[in-house]
Amino acid sequence: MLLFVVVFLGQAEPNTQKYVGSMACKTCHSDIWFKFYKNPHFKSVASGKETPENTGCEGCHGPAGNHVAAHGGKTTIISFFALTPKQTINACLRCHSDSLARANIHSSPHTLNGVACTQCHSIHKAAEPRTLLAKKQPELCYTCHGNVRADFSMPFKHRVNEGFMSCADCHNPHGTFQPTWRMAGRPALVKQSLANEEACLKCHSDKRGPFAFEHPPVRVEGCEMCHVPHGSTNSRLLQRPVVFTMCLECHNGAGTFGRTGTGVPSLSQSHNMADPRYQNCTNCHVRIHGSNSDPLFLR
Amino acid sequence: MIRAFLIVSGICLLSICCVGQQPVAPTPEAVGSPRGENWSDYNFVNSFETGYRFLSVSGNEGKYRSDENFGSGVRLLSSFFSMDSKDGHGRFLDQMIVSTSGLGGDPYSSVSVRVEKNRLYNYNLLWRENDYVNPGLVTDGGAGLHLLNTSYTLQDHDLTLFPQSAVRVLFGYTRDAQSGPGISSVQLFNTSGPFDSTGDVFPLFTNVKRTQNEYRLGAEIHWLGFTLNALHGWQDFKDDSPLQFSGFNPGDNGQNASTLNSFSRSIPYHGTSPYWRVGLFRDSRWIDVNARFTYTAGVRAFLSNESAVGTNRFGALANQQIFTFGSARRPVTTGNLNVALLPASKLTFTSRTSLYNIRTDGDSTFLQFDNATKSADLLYFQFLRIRTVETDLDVQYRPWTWLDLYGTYGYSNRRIAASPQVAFAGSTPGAPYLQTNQLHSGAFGFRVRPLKSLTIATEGEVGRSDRPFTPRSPRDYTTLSGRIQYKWKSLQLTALSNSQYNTDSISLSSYSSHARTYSGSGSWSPRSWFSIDATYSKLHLDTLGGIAFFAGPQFLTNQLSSYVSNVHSATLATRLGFKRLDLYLGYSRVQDVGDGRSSAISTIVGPRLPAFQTAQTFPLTFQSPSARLSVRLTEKLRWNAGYQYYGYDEVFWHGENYLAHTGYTSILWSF
Repeated sequence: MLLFVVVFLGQAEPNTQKYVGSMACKTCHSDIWFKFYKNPHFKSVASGKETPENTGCEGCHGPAGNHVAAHGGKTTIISFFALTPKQTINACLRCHSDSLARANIHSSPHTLNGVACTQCHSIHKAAEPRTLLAKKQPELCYTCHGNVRADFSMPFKHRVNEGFMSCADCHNPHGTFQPTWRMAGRPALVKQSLANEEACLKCHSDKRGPFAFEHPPVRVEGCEMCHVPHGSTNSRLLQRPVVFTMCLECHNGAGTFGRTGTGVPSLSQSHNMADPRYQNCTNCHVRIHGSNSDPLFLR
Repeated sequence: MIRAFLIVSGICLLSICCVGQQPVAPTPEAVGSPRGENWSDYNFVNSFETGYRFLSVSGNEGKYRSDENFGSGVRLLSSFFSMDSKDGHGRFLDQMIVSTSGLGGDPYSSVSVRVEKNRLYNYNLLWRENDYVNPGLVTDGGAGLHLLNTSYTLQDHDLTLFPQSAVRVLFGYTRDAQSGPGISSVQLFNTSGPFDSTGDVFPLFTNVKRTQNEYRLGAEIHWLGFTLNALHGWQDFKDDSPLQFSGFNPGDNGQNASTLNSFSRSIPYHGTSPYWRVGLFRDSRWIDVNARFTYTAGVRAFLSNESAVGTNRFGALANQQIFTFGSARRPVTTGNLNVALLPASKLTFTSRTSLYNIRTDGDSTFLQFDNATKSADLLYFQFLRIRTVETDLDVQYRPWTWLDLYGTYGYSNRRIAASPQVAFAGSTPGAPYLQTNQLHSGAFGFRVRPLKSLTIATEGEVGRSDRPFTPRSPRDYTTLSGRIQYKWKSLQLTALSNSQYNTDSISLSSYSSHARTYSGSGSWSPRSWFSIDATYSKLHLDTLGGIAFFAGPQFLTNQLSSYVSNVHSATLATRLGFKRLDLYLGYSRVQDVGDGRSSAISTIVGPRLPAFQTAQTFPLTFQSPSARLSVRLTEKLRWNAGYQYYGYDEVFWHGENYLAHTGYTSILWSF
């Protein structure tokens, strides 16, 4: 009952303004109108079948009757600069809610932090014509995530700054479902591949398996268990500069960790860690992500 | 204003004396008329930038190629072409956009294409190629190898028919291919085999050949406010990288007399992962429902045939053959249900629930022949099953326009079942070992806007897990973050602080990590001809984990593995435009000062073995200043020149250091 009362109170009043059509807007906003045919939103105009509230300028900015009568003014029409983040999202979702990629926007960390559509997209002055981004990636993302710029400036990194990849290859800024790795709670905004796998496997398909012998943390905890995806001092993007300390931090035989709950097995006596050749674990354990013929990942 | 400009210009000029990772080319400036050229019912915009890159490297060139890999030569640095129907009713298409980058020899090249006909079809292509130098394997405790080129290409095709109608048909194709020389190694360690138990490792070259093809077919139906999306995909993966060697290979262990005279390993394996994905969602004024179900039937057939001929450490002839075949299956089922209730403009409830279920099984046969003993070994398949259920609830409330509050509670339950399973028919598999991990987490945050231009946001999260899977997995973690953003006209200033603590007690079975990030950035574009961006970040990480290992015959327990990193990163970029001339100056510097020690060895914490001591921290500096000049010769023609310097400097080990001078000159034109 309470819910329905709140719903009722939350309803906006019906808009009684008149729609005047995009041609009226052209009179004053000619600079926008004359290049609007290049904008993906022009489809609604070209269609010629849309209702007034779903086409042209008024499709986003609302009925312009009062705006025309008042000879302009920010208060007589919907100005996205004046909207709250939630109002902005709702305005865009009127048409853009039918996409899977944006279906989780209400629970996206960006939404929780007040980042609305127009903070990344510029409808009329886009730097990227396909997605109408205000700046090209990754510069756009670096605007708020300056610390990530530092990650991608490390000597070994995914080639984002070089233009080979973009942030959106691995992340969906509009929100995602829960990850299928770790405890499914974190990290946020990491995009899953179509088969609901970790984003890394889209390109690193040789690590997908299934293998007869899986290295369990790969499947249970995900790639970030050992790797830093943005950038690292290690050539394999490991969390440590050398591989052996990272392996030893799990393979210490203690506690109730691991596949059988008896601790992750420690190294056998043949592994003399004082000998440099045993300090490069993956020299011998070449199939560390999983093997089809060796339980120790040697082939 | 003039004074401020002079100060900023001074800073920018200083910056030229000092690495920015973003390549200086291609030139981002535009050429030609912004409105393009009209022809028939279409409007065209196009530009091409072609020029010559140069490179000069001193120091470790292999490391430079591993890091950046820009070389010398003629390039089509970039191109852009767009064709737009002016009335949205073109005969065959309404929009075509083609853009390229780095074609003709750059290590990072791409082509993207969009072709669209309103209401009829929408086609997108993205093709990318990365020619990278394999960093190789570190086989001697020092420098790696950097001389192997591997090429990786990806292409994604997506075609949507009737993109604006209630029923849409989706087609897709993705292909990844990796090829070129790579390096691998062979370990002939086996206690029962002809090669002795101390073994040796033999570095070998391989010719990498991996391809993946994915085909997608689906449909999307919009009806009564609901959207139903169903997609069927087939992922097909093939690895056919042969490993062959003929000759004399003494191995990597100078103390071991084992040798290899011939070796061949053929491990072709082929995997297919057909999957189904069905999504149903509805967005309305007060409720959003988003449900998804996926099922992936992963199957991988494998075969390995390996033969090795050589001598063991006593000089006796050794001959070993291993033959494996079988298949592995891994069906994966996932389900998601996200519901957002929007009862009022000030209030949002969001509930998210997910289920993930994966299991592996299959069969495998393993035969290892020792020509001397004619022995054969059994292989045990490993069974792994993971079932995770996660649910969380978010509440967002906005009591006033200047305040947002939100809180989250999450619960995850993960059960892992594992057991070895004998592959042969008739044998009894071992009982699975079961373990369950539960995670409770809660987060609270608020966002305040005391001024229209000022936003302050903070968030804290606490998580408690009762049975982490590995010592390094999160157990008792706390995160705190805060952000202040000031935005006024073209000025934006942001400060960020973030800390993540996983604070278990320090013992052999536990692990501790502290990560803190402080970041500040500023962006200012007071005029169309001037902009400046600057960022500074400090990333601190210290970890401590319990380790145990053999040093010679002695088993050392209760040892500590420590790693400390303190990365300072700064970037500065400014753009100036004077009539026909555009100038860009940039500088970026990344410096990890480590734990402050002056030499690689410091026995304050951890094992006293040098290798452990030097691995505790990794101080280095990586910097890159850059400058670019672009001159508009005519409305449709620009001349560009740029320079970028890369300097890599490790503090404790100098064999990898290098200095690289790169640059280019190009013509950007439109016709």
